[in-house]
Amino acid sequence: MKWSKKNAATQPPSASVEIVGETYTSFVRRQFKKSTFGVISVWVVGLMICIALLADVLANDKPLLCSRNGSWSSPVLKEYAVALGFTSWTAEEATAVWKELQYDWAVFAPVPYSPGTTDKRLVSLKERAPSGKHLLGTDDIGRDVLAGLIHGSRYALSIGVVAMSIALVLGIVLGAFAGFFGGATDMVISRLIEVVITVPRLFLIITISAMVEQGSIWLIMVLIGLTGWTAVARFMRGEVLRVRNLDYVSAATALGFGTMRVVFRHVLPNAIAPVLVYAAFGIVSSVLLESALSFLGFGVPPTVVTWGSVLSKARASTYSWWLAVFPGLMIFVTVSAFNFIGDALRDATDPRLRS
Amino acid sequence: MKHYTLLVLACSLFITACGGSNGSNNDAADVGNPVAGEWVVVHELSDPEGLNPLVTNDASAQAMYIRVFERLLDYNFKTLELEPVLAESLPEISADHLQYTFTLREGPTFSDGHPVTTDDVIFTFKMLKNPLVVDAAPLRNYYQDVADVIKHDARKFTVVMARPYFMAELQLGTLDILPKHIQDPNNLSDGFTVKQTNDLDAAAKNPAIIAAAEWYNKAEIKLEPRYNIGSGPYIYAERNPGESVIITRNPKWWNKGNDPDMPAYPDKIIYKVVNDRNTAVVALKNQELDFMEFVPAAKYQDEIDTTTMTHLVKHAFPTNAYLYIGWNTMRPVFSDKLTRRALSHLVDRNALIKQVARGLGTPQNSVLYPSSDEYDKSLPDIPYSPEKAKELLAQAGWADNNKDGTLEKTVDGKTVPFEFAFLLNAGNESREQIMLLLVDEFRKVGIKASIKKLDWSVFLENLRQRQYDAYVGSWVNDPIPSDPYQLWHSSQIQNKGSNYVGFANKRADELMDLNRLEFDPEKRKAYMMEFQKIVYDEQPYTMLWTVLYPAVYNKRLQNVQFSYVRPGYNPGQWWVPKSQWRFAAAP
Repeated sequence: MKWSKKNAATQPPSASVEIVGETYTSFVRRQFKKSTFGVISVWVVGLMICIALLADVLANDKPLLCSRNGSWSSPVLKEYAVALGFTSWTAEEATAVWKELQYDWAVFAPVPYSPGTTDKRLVSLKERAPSGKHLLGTDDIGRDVLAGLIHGSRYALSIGVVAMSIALVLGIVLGAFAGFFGGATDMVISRLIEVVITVPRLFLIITISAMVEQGSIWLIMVLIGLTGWTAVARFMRGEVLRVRNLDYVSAATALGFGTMRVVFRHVLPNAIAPVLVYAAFGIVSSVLLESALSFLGFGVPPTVVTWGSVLSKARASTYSWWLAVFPGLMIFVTVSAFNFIGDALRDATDPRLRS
Repeated sequence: MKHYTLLVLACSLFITACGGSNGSNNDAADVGNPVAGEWVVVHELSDPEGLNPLVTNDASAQAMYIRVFERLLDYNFKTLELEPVLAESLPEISADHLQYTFTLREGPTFSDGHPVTTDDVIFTFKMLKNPLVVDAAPLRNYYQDVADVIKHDARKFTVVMARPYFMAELQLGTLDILPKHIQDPNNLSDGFTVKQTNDLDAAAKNPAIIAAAEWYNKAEIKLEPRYNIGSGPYIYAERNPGESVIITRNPKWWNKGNDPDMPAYPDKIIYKVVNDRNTAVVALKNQELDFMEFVPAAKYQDEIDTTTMTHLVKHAFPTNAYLYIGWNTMRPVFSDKLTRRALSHLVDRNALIKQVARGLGTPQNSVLYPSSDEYDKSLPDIPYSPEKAKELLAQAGWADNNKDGTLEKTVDGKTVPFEFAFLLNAGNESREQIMLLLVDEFRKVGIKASIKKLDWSVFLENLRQRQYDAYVGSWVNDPIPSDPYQLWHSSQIQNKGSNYVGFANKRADELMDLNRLEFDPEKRKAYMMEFQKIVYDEQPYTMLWTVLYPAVYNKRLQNVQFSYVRPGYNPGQWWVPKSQWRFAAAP
């Protein structure tokens, strides 16, 4: 270990970073790179993010670029422009069935289907199985599984990130207050955590989404976030309890800084690292929870295709193995990647785990 | 008790329009003579709402109570003719069609040995007509015109009607007779008369009526076997919520051995509740269930292969049930019949039958049952044709003026985009498939549809209050002459009536009123023909198909027959060869 050679003799690790001119972030990055799985996982997640961002280009029933009657257009890009209000469709385009139009030439997406494109000609198991036309097969109404998985990655990732962000904000603030102020505040927040933690999460979410008139993916994200902050808060509270008695906090207080400044500028940054590690695992549980909910048929409207909803189609059609295997694989890969990232981050930030 | 029942999960299957039920026997070689004994296990999708026929209105409950309770008259399982059961014969009917005099048979007793008398019949009418017995409301509307029931002696009575109704004989005859000595031990019903229940305001203040209703509204009377004793071939033995209802053979049944259609072979019939059809199919394969009346179409066609699963038998049986799309005509987007016809042109029924129903259905064009005489076979198909639909939409004034991809129209000075939501009852996969296919189809012509998934009870409440745009639904009824009043009369729009689509047509109302008062089948047929043309022209429903039920059962069951009489099969007829007994020890 390069770092420890230079500094270990004179300085405790966590305090020494800035002294030798290496920031804590770059130190963690260097440690992180020691984990092969961690690094691969970062690439995998990066790839997922690319797929999610480019979903409309990867899987779409509109041509990416086409020429009709001598003039060029890009219906896929135009769709964004129309949605943003910059332009509008021509009368023909507005209700066009793009596959059936006549083109001079056209470049279609690698997967020439949108996730909601149905095909009523595909009926039997044989017709729906993976083939040259539908690489990963189709579901019971002819919707392409690959297109569904590509667009589903948007929901999977955004659910992980949005739900975890909500949980982090709530958990960090409440946890920091509980740890820093102690006493009655700690008492109230800790009891609140205990109350929330005893409610079975899945059932709570199912109950709430059953009461709401129209379920949506955003509702599910918010619900997962609102029920997932307790672990973050407990973590945070523990860290703050440790940090608040350190000398620099006493120093900040002695200098007359306001409580909020002490909590958010001085205590939080030094207590937050382990919580961010937890966030990686939190994303995993959010993705899994959404899949479970979609599998059970709660929350997400039927027109939205998520990994879990593709998976749930396998229940009604046991012999359609492609409906179980491919979305299952996507969930597995994503969940594993975030888990490895979490592991590697923990190793990199926890001095006790460093060899 | 012949009324339209809304099906929760009926979905995908279907049958031809030719009438008559076709019984099917097993191909089985191993038969020999029928033996009584053994238990049979029948699948139910949900717990019955209750055990008491008067205050329950779901298909699960009906499948059970028809084996426990009996009626004055009932349908013959094979011929579908009305035949006397508890009554000696069909009633004597006065010339003005206002008085029906029944005489009870000598001999029928409830399963506790107590004879069935006129008092029991009158008690049943009193509770049915007591306006404060809330849960009897769905049934009550069919007996509104019963003015009085007059007792002549212990076996003879006359029902007096306020006005003629062509189905009065049938409705009066098919009321399940309840035991007064069990359900009214304190004789609370003696404090009022049938006549007094007719004035609703006075009835609501009558202390005797209030007291009787308070007693009768108790959950035990609806739910507990000890309060639900009938005169039929079986007795309620156990009710285990979420698990099963068990009925056992009535050893003292008055009609034992005399009814060829009810030999009552099994000692016990276990109605096992499995609230997920996919799970139930697994149980069926594992021989934990003997009979499943409705296997999801895809599983029926792809997964149940009787050449490898030799212990199973498949049989798709016809029913009086059809599937349709209902458009809420009170919503601006659907208020115009041209628009509704255009939507019908966008529904590719043949493709849906193939993909969703897996071929187990036939298209139906009119809103009456194809098995009935009055069904108008001459109404043409509305073919799938997006071009025709676009043409009609343009005629109806729909155009995408702002070029956002969605059609608009100006209704009452306001620009309305063509956007709406299908209402879906959660868990019904084939309806969900139909909607998803239609959402994609509609998108191609510039109609933006979405799907709103709701729990069954909330779904129903939304329909009843007309808080919806469109839905896919299913109606089922017994094989009786057509009386579309419940579904189509404009009086049934308000007060949570069954006219969910808000259909109101003056001439149609007239025809339905005339139909109810007409006793000549030919004249009724003429009324119904005209009525069907009006509804067809208005297209408040886009008719999909008549549903064929894909039943699968264990080969050990012998003598499995099917009929249009609900629920379409009769477990009391089944028997199991001794070599295949599993539950009961051979005697």
